[in-house]
Amino acid sequence: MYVSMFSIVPEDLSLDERDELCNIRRRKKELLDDIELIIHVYLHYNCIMYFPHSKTSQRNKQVAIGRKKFNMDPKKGIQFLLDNDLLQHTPDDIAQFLYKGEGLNKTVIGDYLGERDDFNIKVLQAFVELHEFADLNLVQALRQFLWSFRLPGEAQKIDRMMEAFASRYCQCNPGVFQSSDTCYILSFSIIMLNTSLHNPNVRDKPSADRFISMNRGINEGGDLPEELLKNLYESIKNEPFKIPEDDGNDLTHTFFNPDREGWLLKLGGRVKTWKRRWFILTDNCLYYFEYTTDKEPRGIIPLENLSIREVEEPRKPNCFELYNPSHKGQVIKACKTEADGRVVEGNHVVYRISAPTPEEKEEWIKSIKASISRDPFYEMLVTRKRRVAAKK
Amino acid sequence: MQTMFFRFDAFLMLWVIIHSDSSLLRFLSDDRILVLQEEAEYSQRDTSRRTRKKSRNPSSPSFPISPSMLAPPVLLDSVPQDGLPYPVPDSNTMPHYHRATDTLRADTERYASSAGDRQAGASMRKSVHYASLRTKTKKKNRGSQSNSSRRRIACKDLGHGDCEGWLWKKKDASGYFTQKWKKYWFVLKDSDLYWYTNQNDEKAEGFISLPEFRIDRAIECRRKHAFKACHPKIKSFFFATDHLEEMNRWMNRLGLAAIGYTPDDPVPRPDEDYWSESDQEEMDGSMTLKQESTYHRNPSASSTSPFAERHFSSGSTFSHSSAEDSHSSCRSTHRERRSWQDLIETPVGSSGLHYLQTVGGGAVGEGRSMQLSPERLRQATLPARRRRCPPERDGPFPLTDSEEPRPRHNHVHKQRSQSLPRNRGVLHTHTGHAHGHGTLRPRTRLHEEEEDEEEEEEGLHESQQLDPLEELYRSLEQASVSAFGQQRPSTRQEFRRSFVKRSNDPATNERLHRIRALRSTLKAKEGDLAAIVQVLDDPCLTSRKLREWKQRNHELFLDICEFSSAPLEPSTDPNDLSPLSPTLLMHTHSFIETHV
Repeated sequence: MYVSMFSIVPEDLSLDERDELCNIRRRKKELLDDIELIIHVYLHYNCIMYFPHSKTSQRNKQVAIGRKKFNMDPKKGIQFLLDNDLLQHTPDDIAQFLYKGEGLNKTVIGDYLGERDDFNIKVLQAFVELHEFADLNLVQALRQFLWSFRLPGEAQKIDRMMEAFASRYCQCNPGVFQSSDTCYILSFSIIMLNTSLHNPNVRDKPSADRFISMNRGINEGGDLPEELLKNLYESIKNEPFKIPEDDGNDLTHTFFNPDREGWLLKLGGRVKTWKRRWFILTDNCLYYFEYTTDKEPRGIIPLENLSIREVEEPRKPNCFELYNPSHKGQVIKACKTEADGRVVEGNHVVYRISAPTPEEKEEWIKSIKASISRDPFYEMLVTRKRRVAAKK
Repeated sequence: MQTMFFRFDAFLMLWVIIHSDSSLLRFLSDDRILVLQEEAEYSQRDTSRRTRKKSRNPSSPSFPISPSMLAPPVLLDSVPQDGLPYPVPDSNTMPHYHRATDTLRADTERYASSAGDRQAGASMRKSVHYASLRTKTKKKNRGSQSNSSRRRIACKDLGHGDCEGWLWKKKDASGYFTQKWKKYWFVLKDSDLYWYTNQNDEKAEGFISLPEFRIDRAIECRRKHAFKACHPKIKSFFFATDHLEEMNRWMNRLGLAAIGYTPDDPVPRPDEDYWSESDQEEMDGSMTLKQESTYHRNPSASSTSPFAERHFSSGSTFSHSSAEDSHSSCRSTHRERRSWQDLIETPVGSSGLHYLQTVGGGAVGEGRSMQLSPERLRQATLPARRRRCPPERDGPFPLTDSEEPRPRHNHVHKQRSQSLPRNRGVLHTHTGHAHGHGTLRPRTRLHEEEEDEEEEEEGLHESQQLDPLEELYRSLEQASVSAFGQQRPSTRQEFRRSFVKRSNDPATNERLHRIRALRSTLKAKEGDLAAIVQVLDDPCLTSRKLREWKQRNHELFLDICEFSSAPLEPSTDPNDLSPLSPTLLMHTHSFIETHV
C-alpha cells in the first residue's frame, strides 16, 4: 500500500546512506507525480469524445461511446454495449454489429474477428455467414469480403479468416471447387495477383497464361477451367481490390503497440563502451533511442536473417547478442544517426546487449526470436497446396 | 459558450496511489473516457457558478486542454466539417493543466457513485478547475503613461522582483545571420519585464508587458538555452541563459506572468504599450518582420523541435566519447525528465495549429512542408559512402541468406543470388574493418559458395511444383510488399521511414509520435518506480541491501543523486513557487517546470 514518507529508517545506515534514502524517496514522489500527469495527458490525447449538440439522446450517446471504446479495445467496447443493453451476447448479434460496422474501425474489426478465442471464432463464423456469395465469382466475393474489414497482419489470423471465407464461398457456390482448400489457395493466388498487377513497386506482372499455369493442380490434383481463371484474371486486372485504408486516424488503435520496449545497455561498435538506450521492438525491427521522447531512432537493426544467442560478458550481466549466422564477420546492415544528424552505416559485426535483470534478458530474447522467425504466411499456403496435391 | 464535462472514474486516482508499483500501461486503455458536451446555447443560469472559476472573457479557454490537441481526426463523425468545433481564442491559448490531483480528488467525491450509474455516466457534470494562479496577478492599470516613460524607473526603485538575474538578450542585427547577444540585468515585476545594463541604472534599457506575449523555446537561435517572447503584432524578443535550469526558471516565471493577464480590458491596447526599447529607433522595422516571418513560417522547425532539439542538443551537450559512458547515461535520464515535459506542453505544433486552422490550400502547403522537411534532412545528410555502394545493396536481400527452415529454401533464391556478386566489393570493404567475433571467410571461398548455390538451386527449381506461385510470392517479397499489398520495410531506410511516418496526415503523425513517446516515457518511469519501491518498501532494509540495490540500479541511482544535491533554484523567492511545487502541472503552453 501507500508508503508513507516517514517510515522507519533502518538503524545500520550511515548518514550518507540516510541522505540517499531521502533522495530516493523524493524521486519516488516525483515519479508518482510525473506518472499521474502523463496519464492525464495521455487520456486527453486518446479518450476525447465530442458531442456537438446537447440534444443527442442518451442512447445515441452511449452508442457513440460504445463505438469509441470498441475502436480503442474491441472487447471492452462490446462489453460496454452489452452492459448498456445495446448489444446481445450472442455471436449472431455481435456479428451483425460488426458487419454493419457503423462508426467502427475496420482494422479493429479485423483484429477482433481473427482472435483465437472460441467465442470470437463463433462470431467470425456468424460474420462470414452474413455475407451472401451465391452466384458471385470468386473475385466478386473477395471484393465484398475484403472490404468489410481490414485483414490483420498475423498469419494465423489471416489463415482463420480466409479459411472461413473459403468454406462459406463453397457453401454458397457448390460444385465450383472440389474443396475449400482449392478455394483458399485460389483466393490467395488472386490476392497476390492483385498486388503484383497493381502495386507499382512490383516488377513481376503475370500474364493471364502465367496465372493459369500458376494454379495448375489446385483443384484436388486437377485443373480449374481456363475460362474461369481467365475471367478472374481479367476482373482483377481491370479493377484492383479495394481494401480499407489504415489511415491512422484512429489514434488509439494504430499507434505503436510494440512487441517490447525498455532500457538496455548496448556495446558500441567501434568504440567499445556501453551505452544505455531505449529499445523498441516492433515491425520486425529493433529501434533504439537515446531518450524515450525521441521521435527518430538513434539506430535501427532490421532483424531479418539475424540470430540471437546468450553470451557471457565479464563486464555486464544478462547479455545476449545479435549476429548474422550465415555470413560471419559481415557487418549487420544496420544504421545509426551520429550526434550531428548524419546517418551512417553501423559498424557492428554483432550487437551485444545487456539487460537489467535475467528475467528481462529472457523476455527480450523470446520476443526478438519471435520477431526474427520468418513470416509463416507462405508456409500456410504451401501446407494447403500439399494437401491438395496429395489427393491426386 | 462551452462547458466541459468530465467523467473520470474515482478509481483512477486511488489506483494510482495504491498500486503505484504495478503496471499502469494496461490501465491506459481501460474504461476512461472524457466526454465533452457543447451547449447549444449559452445558459444564463449557469453564469454564477462558472464565473467564479473562469474568466469573464467568453472567448478565453475554459477547458484545461489545449485546443490544438483536439484535432478533427480525434472527433466523431458528427463534427462540423469546417474548422474546429469550438472557438479558438484570438490570443494564443495557453492550456491550463490544472492540477490533475485537484481535479481527480475533487472528482472523487463527486463521481464516486458514477461508476455504477449508467445514466449518470454520460450526464453533465461540471469539473472545471482553473489554475489558482489565474487569479493571482492582476494587471496594474498603467494609465496613460507614454511608452518611454515606462522605462524611466530606476532599477533600485523597482524593488524586489518576482524574478531577477542576468540574461542574454539578442540584439536585432541588420543581417539574418549575425546574432549579437548582450547581457542585461532583468527584473520581472508582476507582469512586466524590465532590463538594465546594470543593477544601478536609473533607467531601464527596455521593458515589455508580458500579458499577450507567448513564451517559447527559441531553437532557431544558435545560442544554447534560448527562449523568446512572441507577440502577434510586434517583434519577438530573444533571451538566453547559460544554464538549462536558469532557462527553465525564467521561462516558467515569464510564462506565469504572461498568463496573469486578466481580460478586464478587452479593448486591444495600442502597440507601443506592450514594449519599449532604448535602441528601438535604430531598428529596421521591415527586417524585424522578415526575421519573425522566417521563424514562424517554418512549421517544421517548431513542430519537430521537441524531438529534434532533444536529439541534437544531447549530442552537443554531452560527450559521447568512451570516457564517461555511465555519466552520460545518467545525465540522459535527467534530460529526459525535462524532455517529456516539453513534449506535453508544446501543442501539436504551432504547426499543428496552423495546419488545423488553415483550410484547403494552406493546410496542404503546411502539411507538405512539415512532411518533407525531416525527410529531406535525413536524405540530405546521408554520407558519400552510400553512393559508393551499388544500389542493390539497399535492396531487399543484399548480403544475407535466408534462414528458412526447409532445405530447399536454404539456398539463395535465383534472383537474389544475382545481386550477391555485385555486392562482393562491399563485403570486402566491411570485412576489412570488421573486428571481433566470428571467423571471416576468405573472399574466394565465398565466391565459390555462391556459385555452387546457384547451380544447385537451378536443379531444385525444376523439381518444384510450387514454383510459379512461389515465384510470384518471392517477387512480392523483393518489392518489399506483403501478399496483401502492404509495404514491408526491409532496408534500414525503409524501416526508418516507416517508423517516422506512421500516417499521411502530419498532424496525426505528430500525435502518434507523441503518444508513443508518452507511453515509452510512462513505461520508463514505471520501471524506475518499481525499482525504487523495491528498496523503499523493504521492511528489513539494511545497509548491505541498499548497496546492492544501488549497484543493480546504477544509472537510476546516479541520476537521483546528481539531481538531488544541487538545488534547482538559486531563486530569491522560493515562496513564490510553493503553489507550483512539487507538481509540474501548471504551465504555459511552452514550458513546465519541475523541482528536484
